[in-house]
Amino acid sequence: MRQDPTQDLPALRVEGVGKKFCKNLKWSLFYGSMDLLKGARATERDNQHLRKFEFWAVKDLNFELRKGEVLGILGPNGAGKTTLMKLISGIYPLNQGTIDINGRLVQIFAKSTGMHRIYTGRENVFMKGAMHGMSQAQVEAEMDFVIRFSELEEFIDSPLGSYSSGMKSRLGFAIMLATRPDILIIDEALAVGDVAFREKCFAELKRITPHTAIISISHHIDHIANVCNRVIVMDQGRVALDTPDVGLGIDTYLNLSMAAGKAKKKDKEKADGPACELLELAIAAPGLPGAVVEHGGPMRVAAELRLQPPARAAQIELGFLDAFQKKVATSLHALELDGTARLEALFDRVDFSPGFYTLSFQVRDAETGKSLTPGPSFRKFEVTGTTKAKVALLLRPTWTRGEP
Amino acid sequence: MRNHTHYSAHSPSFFNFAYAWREIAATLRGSGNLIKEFVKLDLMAQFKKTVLGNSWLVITPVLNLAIWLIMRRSGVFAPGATDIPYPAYLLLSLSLWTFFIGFFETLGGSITAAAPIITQVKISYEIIVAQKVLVNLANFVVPFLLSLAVILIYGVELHWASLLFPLTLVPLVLFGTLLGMLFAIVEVVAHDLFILFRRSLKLFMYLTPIVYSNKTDSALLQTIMGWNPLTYLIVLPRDVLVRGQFTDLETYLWVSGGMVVAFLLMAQFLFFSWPKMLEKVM
Repeated sequence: MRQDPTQDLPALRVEGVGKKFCKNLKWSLFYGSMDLLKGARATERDNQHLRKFEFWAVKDLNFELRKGEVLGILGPNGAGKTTLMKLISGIYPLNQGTIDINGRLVQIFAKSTGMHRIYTGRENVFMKGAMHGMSQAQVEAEMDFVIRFSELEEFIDSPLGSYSSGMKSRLGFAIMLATRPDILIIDEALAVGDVAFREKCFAELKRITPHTAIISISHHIDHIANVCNRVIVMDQGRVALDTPDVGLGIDTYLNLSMAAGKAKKKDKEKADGPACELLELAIAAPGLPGAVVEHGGPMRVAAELRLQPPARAAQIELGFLDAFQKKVATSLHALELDGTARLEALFDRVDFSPGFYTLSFQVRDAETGKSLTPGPSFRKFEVTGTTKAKVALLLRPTWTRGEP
Repeated sequence: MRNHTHYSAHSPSFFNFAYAWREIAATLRGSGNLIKEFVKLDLMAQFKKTVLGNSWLVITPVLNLAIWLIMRRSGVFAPGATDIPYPAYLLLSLSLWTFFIGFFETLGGSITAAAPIITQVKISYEIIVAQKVLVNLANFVVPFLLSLAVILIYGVELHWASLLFPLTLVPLVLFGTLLGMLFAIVEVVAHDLFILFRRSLKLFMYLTPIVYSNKTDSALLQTIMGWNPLTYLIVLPRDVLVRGQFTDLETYLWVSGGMVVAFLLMAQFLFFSWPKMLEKVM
């Protein structure tokens, strides 16, 4: 039997990729016009070197992606994630390197692009299918799947203009799946329809993973932790980390975000005088490895601080962020700080529902309220348990049953 | 859909004709369904918000006809001798002119108009060109049939050579498309020039024998018409249809050859510059 020669090829290969932009609009138009006049292509020198006002949005990117891999791309704002996706999608031209794609590539960040109000849902399926290279026969063959998956049986022949945003998203996502992509790019945490539909999307993604290479760009670490089996962390246009250890990737991303926040505050810190340095921050639970705690069980937060003189009244602020990086709980503790101190906060019972959370730690001056640390520090932790809940807090009171 | 896609910073030479046209042909071959959907959408959407809908395809030329007939009857305007009754001549000429500028109108702003889609999904410009050309051809059918009906009502006899009319229109289509593609680029990089040209379009109509005859007595107009390539691209098809004659065939063939070369170069330039154009509309 003959083997498919493309079977062993990576679905995506990115080699030495670089892309630059111009900060100044007028210079950007000038360079664009010059490049057009030079025979519609920039010269080698123009591609390799930065001209006035130009900067590298991404530089020296190298990675491969195979079917079965779900790659999460994390990075602070401006790290180059969206630029990378537009390069892979063939929308931006490259300034350096090559990109090879084996198979059909579909981007879910464009799920509503090309859909028209005057068309019915069904007509939009034909339009979107065509935009992703499907023939009319292929679209017709997938129509039942799209209608069933998007749960729009009653509305598929109504104009798109009468759809809610959730209905449009469901239709867009179903069409994307119907294209049977070899490489799927998902931007942001599948903000599609309601919770039940999101769960359905995640289940479908898991189902197609063995024969699809998936790239997910998200700040939603719960999504990355649940779906991805590999993480690339980008920083300032370069790959800072490429790892199959998703937890390590998320920690690196959080630390990079923290560092970016610190850098912004650095000058302000100098002006504000003595600062407090966080030497160590750890989360632990008895009998559990690393930063893992059990729902309903205890949790210990340990921190070591060094305060520049003089001693002062301070307030420790612990914040708890859910997977969407939204603060869901806080804890405040007032104390006198002087020199180096090791502190421990013991929570007898953790009521967070199972999932991924982030602890933020910050020390403030009790009188002025100003931060003594250069912004908050973050640590990711996981709450384990069997009961799933859609909200951060899962309270378990003691129930009693009296006589009627 | 091609199974393997390769993007590189090293684009082939602008003079690599074979590469450019192989890619353009492959894109058009693989995008038939998309072009069909785009054309369908354009035709559906163009008069969607009007009460009269597609009737505008008839109303517009009839209104234009009425204006020029009133001007002629009032003595303000003398179009010169025409081979067929003036209303039929005028209606056919205006249809051809509307057909020609239709390429500029639809293609001229097409890059900016398509920005919401082309900045999100990879769509080659040749697909948009094909879409706009087909829409313009479809829009020409109704006014042309109306012109033909009026010609026949006036008792003008058609000839066997009249069957060649669609073929003689090809250079006009190429010129219109070429102009549309050129100004699609100009609209992005030098918007002022685009506005200037759009506002000058009426002037070009008066420099072409559309509302007046190419047999006008004015020496100045004869000189201008002689240098205006549109004269040959409009007069010959019109005469082929109504008289079965190939007026000034040699010049027509030279102009047509020039249009073919210019069209190929323009399409190739846009093929290579398309990625740069995309950056400018983001």
